[in-house]
Amino acid sequence: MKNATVVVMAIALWAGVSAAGEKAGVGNVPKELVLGSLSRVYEPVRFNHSGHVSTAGGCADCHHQHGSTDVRSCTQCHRTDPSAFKKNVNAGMLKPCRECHSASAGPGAGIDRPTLKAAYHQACFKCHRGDVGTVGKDPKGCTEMCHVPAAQARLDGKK
Amino acid sequence: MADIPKRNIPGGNVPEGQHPSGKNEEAGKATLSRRRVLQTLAAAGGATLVGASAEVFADNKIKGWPDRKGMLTDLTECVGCRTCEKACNRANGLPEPEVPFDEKSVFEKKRRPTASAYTVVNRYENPKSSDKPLYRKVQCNHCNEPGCASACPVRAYTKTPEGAVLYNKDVCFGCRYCMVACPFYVPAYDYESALDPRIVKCTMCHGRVKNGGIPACAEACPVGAVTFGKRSDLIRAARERIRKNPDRYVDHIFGEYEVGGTSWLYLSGVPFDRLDFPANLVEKPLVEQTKGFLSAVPLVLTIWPALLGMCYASTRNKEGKE
Ligand code: HEC
Ligand code: HEC
Ligand code: HEC
Ligand code: HEC
Repeated sequence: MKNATVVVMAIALWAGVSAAGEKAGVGNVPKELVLGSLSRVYEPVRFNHSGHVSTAGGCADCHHQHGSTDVRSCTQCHRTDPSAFKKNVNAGMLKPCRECHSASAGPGAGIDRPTLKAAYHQACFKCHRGDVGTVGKDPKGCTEMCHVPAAQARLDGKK
Repeated sequence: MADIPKRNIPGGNVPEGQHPSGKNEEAGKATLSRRRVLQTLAAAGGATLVGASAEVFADNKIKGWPDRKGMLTDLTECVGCRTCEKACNRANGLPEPEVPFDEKSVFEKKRRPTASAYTVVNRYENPKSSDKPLYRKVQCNHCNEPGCASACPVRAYTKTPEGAVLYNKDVCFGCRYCMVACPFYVPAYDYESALDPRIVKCTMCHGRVKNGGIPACAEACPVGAVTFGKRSDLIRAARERIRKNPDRYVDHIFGEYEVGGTSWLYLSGVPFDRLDFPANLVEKPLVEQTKGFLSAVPLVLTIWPALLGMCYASTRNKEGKE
């Protein structure tokens, strides 16, 4: 339903604009990201972003920018060239998750929109649950795959 | 018998913010006075005798608490990491488990909450996809109208305006009626200390909630499978999730109506009975049913001598220890 609406809007948009915006290509896509919002408990996680972009084949698996509260015009993120519309997302316009997903966990948090920690994990576990890695099968999956407990990392560093 | 104490409303037994177990245990330790137990028994017995509808229990107060809190467990998100178990354990000052929290062999058996683990996560086969097992978090569901409270002859249980059902171990004398009355088999008996009768269970982190916090399991859950908020908001959000993802969820919020409604609500991707949720629970609160029974047979009076004997024994043990 949502996708259909978006596509209809997209077509309407293409009809109205000329093929400008060549510059808004796939630039600025980060190679590696350090996700550190849980550094009190775990060492920051190094996330191979560009590796994931190629496995995922697109950005939408994680950067769901649609259906959000975002009301910016389509051309801010998309090239208006019809043949490349979907895949050519202006990376500079993609916001980090924390701008919309709060890291704080008070009463009511995460009911309508996942908290930051949950948003990351839900996005990652779309693929990493039972498939790549052992998350979902073994509680050790969390530390085997990504997380080094903070205290332990300090010990390892000392060695 | 003449000295019938004022029948306080639910919440009267447990002092504000007192955690019925764990860290605050020492601080909140009121000596069990035999007189107090006798008074309570007398009150319960007296009320039954007079035939008045014994308002000793927690029922119908609940409608006055529209802002009461609840928890939503979305079982489609749970990945069985057991972080909630660990967080619960820490928050309640429970001993470290014999088998570490990241050990998956615990999933080989179905576990129940115990005196040293107020919440446990069990694993189930996923009929839709065998390499993605399903998990179910188990703990007290904090019924709107708790059967344990209605079964307890000494009113050790109270339903709080925040939604939690609390337990006051200081008046408990170990009859274990609550264990029988609970439709979810939750209250666990602390066998470690046979001399000091103690039923223990999840408190929905009442102390943390009173201080503006959220239950430890909800805070710890990495995937947002456990959330805390106003019960009415949770129901609305749960409906919304079902509406948006009809393929992901079965169209049922477990706990919305079961046994009169529970504070803890669940969403699932498979029918709930496949995850060992009790099927065909009545929608009427258990209290209404047990109450009929209780007023027909003055239960407390029938077994009074036995109860007094037990009380006496347990009190004496306590006094001996102090
Ligand atoms: C904040 C940036 C942003 C804005 C603004 C934006 N999009 Fe997108 N859009 C994306 C991203 C990211 C993707 C995912 C690209 C991919 O497939 O990897 C995407 C994908 C799409 C797709 C493909 C969807 C699919 O499921 O394959 C369509 C169609 C689309 N956008 C249309 C629009 C339209 C129409 C607008 C204006 C109403 C718009 N977008 C505004 C970021 C944006
Ligand atoms: C496997 C998931 C995943 C995929 C696929 C993915 N990203 Fe990301 N991306 C992330 C995560 C996680 C972050 C970190 C966001 C944060 O720090 O909150 C991020 C951050 C970014 C940032 C930096 C945002 C900022 O300002 O900090 C940009 C730009 C970005 N991604 C662009 C893209 C583009 C363009 C694509 C598609 C070609 C893409 N990403 C595909 C997960 C992904
Ligand atoms: C522009 C604001 C915004 C940004 C940036 C954003 N989100 Fe979201 N996200 C939302 C909103 C709003 C919702 C709830 C919307 C809904 O119900 O469709 C949501 C829901 C989600 C959900 C649960 C529902 C779903 O669609 O799967 C996940 C998972 C999620 N976001 C992950 C992420 C990740 C990962 C990032 C960063 C790479 C991110 N989000 C960045 C606004 C945002
Ligand atoms: C679209 C599916 C998909 C999503 C979403 C995804 N991954 Fe991956 N990830 C993969 C695949 C496939 C591999 C293995 C492929 C490879 O080795 O390059 C992988 C490998 C990894 C690895 C080990 C290899 C490496 O890159 O160092 C880590 C760590 C990882 N992912 C973390 C994450 C995190 C963190 C997230 C969420 C922010 C995430 N993944 C989201 C598909 C995904």
